[in-house]
Amino acid sequence: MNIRVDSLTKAFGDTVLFDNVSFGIRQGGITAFIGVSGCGKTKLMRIISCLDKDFDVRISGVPERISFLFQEDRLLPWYNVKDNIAFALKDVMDKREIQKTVAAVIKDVRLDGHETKRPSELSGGMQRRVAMARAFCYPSGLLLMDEPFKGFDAKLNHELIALFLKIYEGSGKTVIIVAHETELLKRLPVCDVIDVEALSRKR
Amino acid sequence: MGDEIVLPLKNKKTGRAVKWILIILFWLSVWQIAAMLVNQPLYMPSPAETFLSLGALASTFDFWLNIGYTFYRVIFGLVLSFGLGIPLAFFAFRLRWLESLLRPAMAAVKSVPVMSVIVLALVWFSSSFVPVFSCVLLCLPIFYTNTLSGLRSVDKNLLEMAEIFKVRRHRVIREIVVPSVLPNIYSALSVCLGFSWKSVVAAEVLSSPKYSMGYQLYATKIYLDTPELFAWTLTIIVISLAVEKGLKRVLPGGGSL
Repeated sequence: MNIRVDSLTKAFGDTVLFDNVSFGIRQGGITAFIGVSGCGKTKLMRIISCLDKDFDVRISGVPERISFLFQEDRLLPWYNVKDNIAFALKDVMDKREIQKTVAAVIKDVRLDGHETKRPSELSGGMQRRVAMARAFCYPSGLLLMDEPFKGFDAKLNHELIALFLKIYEGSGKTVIIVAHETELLKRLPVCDVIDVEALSRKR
Repeated sequence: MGDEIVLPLKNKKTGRAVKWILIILFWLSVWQIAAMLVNQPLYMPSPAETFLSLGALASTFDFWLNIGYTFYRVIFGLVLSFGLGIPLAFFAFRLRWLESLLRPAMAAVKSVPVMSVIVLALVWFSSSFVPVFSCVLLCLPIFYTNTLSGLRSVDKNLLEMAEIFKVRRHRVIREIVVPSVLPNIYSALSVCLGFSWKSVVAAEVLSSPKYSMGYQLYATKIYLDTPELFAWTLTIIVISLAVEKGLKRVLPGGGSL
């Protein structure tokens, strides 16, 4: 089922952010939100994921389980790589399944050998990969990614995108990605691009 | 060239022990020199006199009984402060009105002189409970405020992350909130360990329960037995340090204590 966002309205005082906006998101594909910073891309993700509830909106088709790769890594500093990934899984899988899933995803993001390290012992790129692994192995139908590869140099950026593509292929997940760089948009098999800036200006 | 000298761990440990022995020897000699300069045991007993007095005390059963009772009061006071202060902070964090209600009380208790508390407690309670009460009044606000500020500083981003992954409430508390607040609780504990001994012994001096280190301190004043005063003081320091070191070992992640 495709995701529908219908008649979304939000105003802060006099400024109207969204005024009766509607759009759809195709299931199983990658949809990109683009637009200048501050136009409401992150807000839109938060509305779809129900993190922000203070809006007039009708949303349908959002699966029960969602994963979110935030702009920040949001890792638990007192847990190691394995436990950080398992943290998201403990309420949805049994122990043996968690072990298998975590081991597999750690291999996928090429963190094998670092399982018992804490975030503070990892480089920025490695921390990002842990966050990616956690978001990816959570059994959800929808994956939201908020500028997931921002703030890394070109080489690392390249690597992270390649890694993402590898684990994305065949996963069947619906993905919404907030993206700034055209480079990223070119490399991902994006099926729809939604210009949030244009949406939010529409009166 | 390029040879590296790798010191085995054992050597490192002995090195540290030697360092501490030297530090202790230094202060003992400072003490000894001061005593020799004053040359008046009533004002400043020498280390030797103090240790002799301590030896004489330690051979009596009452010495250990006094320590036991004071120790029991300190622990009782700490457990009460801990057991009341931390849950109170959790409730105050959830209920704004409770926090507002408690704020002036906590502020007042913090600035009240210990002696006023003790004198008041003397009127209210039996002499044996006065030290416990004054310890609680001193330590509870510390546990309370530290825990509360810890709760306030829990990373909202982590809570949101847990919300997205639909992590159950009890797990959020156990795996995010508690580890975030723990350093604050440890720092409160570290402050309170010192405070509890000071306040309990001070209250004991005034309330003079039958068995207590405070009462023994008071007695040394009556008999002008300064070496014994030093001996008791030394005992208090050693025990309170031992308790702190012991807790550091026992508590998970207590190294930060």
